[in-house]
Amino acid sequence: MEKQRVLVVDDDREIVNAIAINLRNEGYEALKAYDGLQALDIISTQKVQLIILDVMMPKLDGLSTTLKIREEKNIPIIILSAKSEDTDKVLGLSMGADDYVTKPFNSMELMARVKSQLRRYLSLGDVNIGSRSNLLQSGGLCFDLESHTLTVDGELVKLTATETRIVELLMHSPGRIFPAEEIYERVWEAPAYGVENTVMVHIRRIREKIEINPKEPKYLKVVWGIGYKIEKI
Amino acid sequence: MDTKLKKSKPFKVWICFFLAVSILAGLLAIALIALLDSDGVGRGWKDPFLDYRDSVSFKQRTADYFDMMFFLALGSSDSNDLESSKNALDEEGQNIKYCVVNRDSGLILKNIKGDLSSLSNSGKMPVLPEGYKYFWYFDGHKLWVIDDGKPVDIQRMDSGYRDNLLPTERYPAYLAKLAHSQVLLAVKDDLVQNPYGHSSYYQEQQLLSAMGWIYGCLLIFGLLLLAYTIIRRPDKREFDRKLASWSGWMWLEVKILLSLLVLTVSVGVSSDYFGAFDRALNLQLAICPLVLGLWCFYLMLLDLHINGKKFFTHNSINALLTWYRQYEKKYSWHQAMLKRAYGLVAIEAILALLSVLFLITAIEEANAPVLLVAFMIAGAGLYLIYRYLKRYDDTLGDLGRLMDHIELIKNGDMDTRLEAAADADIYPAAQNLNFIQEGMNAAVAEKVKSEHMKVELITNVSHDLKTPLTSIISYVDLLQKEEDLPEHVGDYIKILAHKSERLKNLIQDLFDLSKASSDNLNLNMEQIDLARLIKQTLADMEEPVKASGLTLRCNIPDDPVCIRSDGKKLYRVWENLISNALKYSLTGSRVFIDLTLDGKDAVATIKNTANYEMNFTEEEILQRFVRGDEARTTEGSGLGLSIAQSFTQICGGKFAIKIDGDLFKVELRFTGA
Repeated sequence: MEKQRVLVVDDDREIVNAIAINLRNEGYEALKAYDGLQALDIISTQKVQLIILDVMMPKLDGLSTTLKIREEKNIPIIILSAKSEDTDKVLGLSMGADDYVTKPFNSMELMARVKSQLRRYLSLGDVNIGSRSNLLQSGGLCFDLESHTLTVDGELVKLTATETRIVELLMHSPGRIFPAEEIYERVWEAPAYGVENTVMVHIRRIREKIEINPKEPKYLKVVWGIGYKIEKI
Repeated sequence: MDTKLKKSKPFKVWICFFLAVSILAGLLAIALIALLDSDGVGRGWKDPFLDYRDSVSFKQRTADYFDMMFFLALGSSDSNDLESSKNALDEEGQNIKYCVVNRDSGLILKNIKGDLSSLSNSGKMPVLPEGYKYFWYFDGHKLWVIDDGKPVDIQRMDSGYRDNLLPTERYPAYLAKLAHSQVLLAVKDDLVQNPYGHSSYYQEQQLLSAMGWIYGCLLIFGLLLLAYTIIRRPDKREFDRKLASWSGWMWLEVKILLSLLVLTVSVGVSSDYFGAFDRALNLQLAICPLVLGLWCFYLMLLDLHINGKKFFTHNSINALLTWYRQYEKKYSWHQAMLKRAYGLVAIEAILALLSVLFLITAIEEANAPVLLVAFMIAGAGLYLIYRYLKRYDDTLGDLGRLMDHIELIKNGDMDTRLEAAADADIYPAAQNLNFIQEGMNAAVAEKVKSEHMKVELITNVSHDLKTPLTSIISYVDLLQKEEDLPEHVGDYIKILAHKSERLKNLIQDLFDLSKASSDNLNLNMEQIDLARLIKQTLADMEEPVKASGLTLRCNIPDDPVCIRSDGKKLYRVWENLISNALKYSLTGSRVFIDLTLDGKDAVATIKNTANYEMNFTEEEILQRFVRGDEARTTEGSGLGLSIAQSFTQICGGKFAIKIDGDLFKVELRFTGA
């Protein structure tokens, strides 16, 4: 099988090099660009399966570059930025990026994200998932109502029975916030009393299984002071 | 006026204007008087505009000569008189023909040929040589004035003779003595110069005709000057303003007094009556004060027009008050106020005394004007009291406003200014208060600006720090993956990895804190359950809690404790507080977390026993980069508590730390929603 090509774009050459080394270690082919224009140039001439893009760059910044790429291509884009505010993340994702990693990043985490994005883009493809009615889906999360299995970016996740029921409950209405009591009553089917801790422990375990970085969850989120939810993506 | 100004153009133009108006006004006045003088009884105002023979001067001069001759005929004069009279008449030379005859005394004085005796009592008029059509003739009973053969009606008001009539008409007793006398005085038609003496007739005719010409020339000159002034209006106005500014210095009373003085002099001079020969001169002398009066009036109007209200307010009373205020300024506020009160009492006492004195005098002498003076003094006293009370009332009102304003400043209003009248008693205080306000405003603005800049700097720096740190972490990571490295190198790399991770956390904390204190953090305020939030946080941190070996004693109600806040930020607060407690608690001790309701407020506390001596104050520990243990050996940025405090505050809560021996307590207080 041909090696998958990943384009790394950052005005800091050392960072590009480091990422490239990591990518090669993982078995990908790495292409390098140092500003937005170079990146656009490479994309138009070569076949690229994924782009890691810095935001603050000379000539053409990351967000503008994302917009340009999205005009014609559906390649997964991971944005790399020193800006760690929620608003920056929301902005990046709304521009058409698929993931957002803040600097300084952990190489392992970045590689995991690369892997999951590529898996989703190459082996599955978004199109045929949404059309099946017995699937609950949010972003890369996919719950099969028939087999009661959960896949993250196409990869099967092993869950316990209770965890499966919690995920099924939350996946039924992505974006809705469930208080701990409701989750307990519907999953355990017993009256809830002082259950916050129990529910939280399960949520944390699910998060460790489905999230790449459980400390900064992408899908399963705690709404502090209110409850829990699966993000609607 | 300094010389420089005198030479300037506005001054020249204004002088032209002055001359033009003076001349024209003078001429106008003369013309008006002449017009009103139509009955001829006046003082010969019209003379310069008339034929000499029709002028009052001519008639009066003739009457004077005739009078003189008449008294000669009466025979009451001695030989000296006779000689001087004859000399006076001969001065006229050819211009007169005269004859005085008194057959009783045998006096004959004449310069004509022939005799008048034949005409005595005949009722016939004498026949005079060619060129003498005008003559006066007294035939012993009656006076005739003949002009060109016809008698003139000398009794008419407008004939010009009434005032100059002979004493015979006034004193009929003389007539008996003059029954046999004849007096004749004829005046030459064309007056000529007398080479052997001074002909008064001739000279007066010349003078009056010259006066006519002079008036004409003056009129033209005046009109020309006026036209010039009209063309140079702006210059004239400029000097007008200067004049007004000069006259503005004068008190109103001075202006009025000066004007009255000028008018009095004007009236006095114009009512003075000079001799017949000086009439022409007299005319101008009378006009001069009139014109001066006009200029006084003009200056007053100008002053009023340009200076406006100041025309009235710049008077001696106000000047006195101003002087008194200046005098007051030398003393402290308290002393000035006291002085004012004492001064009022003293003046009132004097005025009361005076008014009583005048009253007694008025009653004793039954004198109305003195009574009026007494009342006026009493009125002045009352007015003074009224002014004082009004001032006192104003000052009290101002004091009230001053206090309100201080209250306003206390409450943080730095923009509203206290307006006070410039002559108010509290004016200096109001001004000073405004200055203080401005100063505080500037200081606050400066502080905000510097704080903002500091935050900006921290944000930028932490941002810039992240880029190289990314490289460091990335390459340390790569190094860690290297195999076949000596063991000690592996250890070094581990240290590098550890420290770069710590640096990363430090930068992130610093960044968060600077954001929080710069108030540009994006908040997502919503209704949350604080009890649930604490439980969630505790559940989330279950593992570190277990690892610490500490016991957590939680007293959190099952019912929701609702507050309005930002859940995510509040989670950071509790995460920091709990990990702080875990880090600095005595091994095996207990950490107490309580949530209670205090009225509407939700109060959450976390208490732990420190594992070291807390030799710092509550304030010190909140200062950035101050850590509980001064050695700074443990992990963490030292910003945990600061971040917790900042986040609590921006989320609408109150954050308090209490240190009691080894007990460390943090209290969070939120207003219930």
